[in-house]
Amino acid sequence: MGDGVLEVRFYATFRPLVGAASVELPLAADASVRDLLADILERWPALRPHLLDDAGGLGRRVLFLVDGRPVRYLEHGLDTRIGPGTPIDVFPAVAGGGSAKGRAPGPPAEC
Amino acid sequence: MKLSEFGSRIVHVDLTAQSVERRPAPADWTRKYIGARGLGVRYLLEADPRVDPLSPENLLCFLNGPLSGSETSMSGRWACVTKSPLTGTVTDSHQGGWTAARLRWAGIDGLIFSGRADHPVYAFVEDGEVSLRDATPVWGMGVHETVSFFRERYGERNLSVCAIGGAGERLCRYAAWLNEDDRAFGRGGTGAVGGSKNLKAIVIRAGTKRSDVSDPAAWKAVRRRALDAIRDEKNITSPKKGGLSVYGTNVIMNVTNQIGALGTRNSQTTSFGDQAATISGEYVADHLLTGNPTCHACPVACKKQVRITEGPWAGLEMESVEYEPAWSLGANCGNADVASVAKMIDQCNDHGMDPIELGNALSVYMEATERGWVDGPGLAWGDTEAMVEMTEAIAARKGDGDLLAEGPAIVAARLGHPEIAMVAKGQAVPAYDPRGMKGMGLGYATSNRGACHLRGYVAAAELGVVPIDADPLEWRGKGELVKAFQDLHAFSDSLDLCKFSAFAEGADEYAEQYAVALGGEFKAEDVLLAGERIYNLERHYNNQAGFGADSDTLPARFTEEASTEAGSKGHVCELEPMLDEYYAARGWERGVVPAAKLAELSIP
Repeated sequence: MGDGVLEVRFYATFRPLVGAASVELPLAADASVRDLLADILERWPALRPHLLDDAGGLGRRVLFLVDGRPVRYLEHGLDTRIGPGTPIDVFPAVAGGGSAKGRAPGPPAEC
Repeated sequence: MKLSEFGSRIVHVDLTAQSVERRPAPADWTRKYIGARGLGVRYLLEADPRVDPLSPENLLCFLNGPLSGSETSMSGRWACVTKSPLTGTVTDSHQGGWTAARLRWAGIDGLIFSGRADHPVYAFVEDGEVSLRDATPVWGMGVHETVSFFRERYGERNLSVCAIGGAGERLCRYAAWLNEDDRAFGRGGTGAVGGSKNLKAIVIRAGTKRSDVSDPAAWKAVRRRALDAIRDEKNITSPKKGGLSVYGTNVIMNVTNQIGALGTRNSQTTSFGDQAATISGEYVADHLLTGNPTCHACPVACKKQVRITEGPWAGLEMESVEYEPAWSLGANCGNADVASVAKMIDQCNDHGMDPIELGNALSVYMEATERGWVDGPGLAWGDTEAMVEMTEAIAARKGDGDLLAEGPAIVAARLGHPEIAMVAKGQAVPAYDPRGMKGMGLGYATSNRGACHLRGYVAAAELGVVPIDADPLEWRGKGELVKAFQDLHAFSDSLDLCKFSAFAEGADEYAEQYAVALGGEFKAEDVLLAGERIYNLERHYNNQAGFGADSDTLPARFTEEASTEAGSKGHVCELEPMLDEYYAARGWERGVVPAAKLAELSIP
């Protein structure tokens, strides 16, 4: 994968923070999701509290899709390599929210 | 309004005898089955579970929960419980708005109708009294006109009208009850049961009443804790900040589209591609939104008032373009025109129909047309004017509309291809394709009212926004997870709190609000135990109604035809191994509740 341009789509309450539904970002050869995330945060620092958790990792409430898959479930996670044609979609929590205290609604903590 | 007295004001209406009798619910029933959904199923068990749903012997229960109409956040709900003419199972459906609160303020906890009136009637409720009155003048009217009629007769102030439209009168199997014009007991055909009984409406007049509890300070504190969670800016429920509050339920459209869980053209594919954008919540907010109505005691305001400004339906004002109908009448029918979706939702609200079932009846008919299985012109994907015309025909039961009024399972069977009906236990699937969200598929198959997303909203976990790891494409672990969500929701549906409260609250908040409201001890584990008992009671009813072993199924399209689109590409829904996990967690024998389990849960 060489240098190129990557389209990143934002949704719902992230759109006003970015000012657009979709943006094109330069992409270095062998870039990873982690590199892309850093670039996004540098360009739109207002997203930082929404995208990152207290430890600086990708927040659990963010749905960061790489080719339609949540990055947290990809084998290499944030180190997944991406190229100019990779679909990237970034959503805030849209189907739920969970308790502020982090309690599950009753189901087991892991599955 | 003493909350601890919930259950003492149940009114039984025999429509055949035109008699009204007030009898309290047995204390044992309200303790074990809480109220609303759970209590309704317990009443239903008193009639023969094998009863014909459209016969006078079926019961039609409208019940509040112990928190309905109180100051508890998101408590503006009540339940309609009956045997479904669509599925033959027990069904419960819930309405928001203000009707539940007004029923409580009028001094009534629930209305249970039996028999069949010899002419159209409506029930009028005021000051603790219920009377049957002649509905002949409104029989034949749509819901909107019926509401206007009663507002003119009784005045708009403090008035709620819950009515059926023409679809219910003509026994469309997915007819619904609507209140305040736009809020539905949507699923399961409860409106047809009303029509079969010649019951047109319930009209309630009541002013606001405050809750009376034994410990007001504790009551205020527990409600404050729940409200703080709802308002938390990190939660989707946060007023004017969270996605649910800002965009409504349709905020989810683009997500399911991208992960490959948006069934398209009768679930032949799993994504609507770029066309999903124009039926999404973001599009509605940017182009059509005019207001944010809400229900009693709800700061979230997820309802979205819209106005259509262009095209053949310009001038239409309605609420609300929810995710489910935007999918069923949109992507599911190959339709990217949001104005037509709003028009058909409004038709459903006026005629009293479930738009999820309508969309699936249309999409079955469209696929059959595409494959050459329909005599005559049929219906083409995305032909919006023809869809609107067919919706009118269904409500009127005219032409092919008479067939489509029977629901997608019967449409597909009569066309000789039952395999193209995307149903479970005869009820159409909602807007999450099980190939892209496998836990939802298990939830559809094991729902006691037929395919349903609301019996166990495991989507909240599969989309990663509650603190539970649940990869939407992983089937392992979903059995126990689905059970847990089902049990939790069975309890909240019995309180009766809005399902969306679970986006901010959990079993702890439910337990402490219930305990303080009614007095006595009640813990989080009691919430889940009561929910489990209610879920088993429903299944026990279904078992007696004829749903035996191996009744929990999904269409082969979901289990055998792999997704070809978006994030779920290559995946099917592995139902069988998930069922094994699920039955083990439930202690059921292939979907049947054994006697030992009934005894363990003290059922009935």
